[in-house]
Amino acid sequence: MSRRKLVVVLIALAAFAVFGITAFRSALTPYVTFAEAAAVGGSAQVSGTVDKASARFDSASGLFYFDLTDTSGTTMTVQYEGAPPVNFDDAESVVAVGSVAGNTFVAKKILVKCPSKYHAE
Amino acid sequence: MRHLAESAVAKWALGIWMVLVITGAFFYAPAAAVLGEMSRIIYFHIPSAWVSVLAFLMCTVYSVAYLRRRREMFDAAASFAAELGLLFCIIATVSGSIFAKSAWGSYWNWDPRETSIFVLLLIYGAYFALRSSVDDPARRGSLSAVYGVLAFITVPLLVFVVPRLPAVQSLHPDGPIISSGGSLDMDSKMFTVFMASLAGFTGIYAWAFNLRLRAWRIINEED
Repeated sequence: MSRRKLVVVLIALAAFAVFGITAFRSALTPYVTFAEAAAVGGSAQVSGTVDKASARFDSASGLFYFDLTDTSGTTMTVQYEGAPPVNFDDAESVVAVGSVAGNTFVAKKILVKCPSKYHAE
Repeated sequence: MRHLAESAVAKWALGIWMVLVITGAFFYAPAAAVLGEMSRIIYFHIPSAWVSVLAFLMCTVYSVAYLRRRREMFDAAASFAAELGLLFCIIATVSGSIFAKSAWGSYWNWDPRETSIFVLLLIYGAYFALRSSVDDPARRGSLSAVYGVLAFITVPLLVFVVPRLPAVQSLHPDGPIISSGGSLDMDSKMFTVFMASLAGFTGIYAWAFNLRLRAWRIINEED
């Protein structure tokens, strides 16, 4: 392979790589902010950090509430029907799957990101 | 390398090694805090992902070799490497999904890691669709070799770059293999089992690949 041909091939590969990254970028993350979730209307995944002090379980109604701050800095109360997930207290960040209903975010599911530290108990 | 992979001693040693790895994964290494017993899946999930990347790399190496020398054996070897890569990629996906259910709370929620491995499965699935659609061996060899090289460009992007682009958040942690900083936060017993498993899985890949190539040689090079 001549040097010139090799350069052409390398440039083509680099262009392909850049195209690959840009083409997938927007489709890559399912996580949105509360504002985007409200705009969507339907089910969305909002990722953010939890104010652990705000977490409370109402045993009468069986509802779990906590305040979630999304990546844009907006905080909203999330309502979830059921007990908090097992790893909730250890969560680094939380994803609430559901939709915006007025001032609260009604979650059908709560996903947690645990710190992955591989040490014994 | 060829002699090593073909010797009966190496085969038995690999078998015993994997028995030790599996035993070690369940009885020697402690369960991780927070993640609990489920954390043991890392001794199988991460090595599968590693072997998958390694196999896809080998597919590219043989593809380039085919394009340069046009020997049918290189084309066959590239396809065998891709087969194993796809197999281990599926294992990594399934074990990852099970792990995600226990650690995050959902089998599949299109996390960037899940999306990128799904795209990877499609890309290498298409490699076999391409192979089976061309009958002429020389033409099939050339086309799939070029595709094999192009496909591998997406591997480092999908596995290492895309999930940690700024603005892309993920529930998936930066593991030992895909870690950006290279810091390994792991208990020493876990680390021992983990490294042994990486070596074992790599051995399984080498053994399976060699077996496939030997079978091909017997059929195609009758001498």
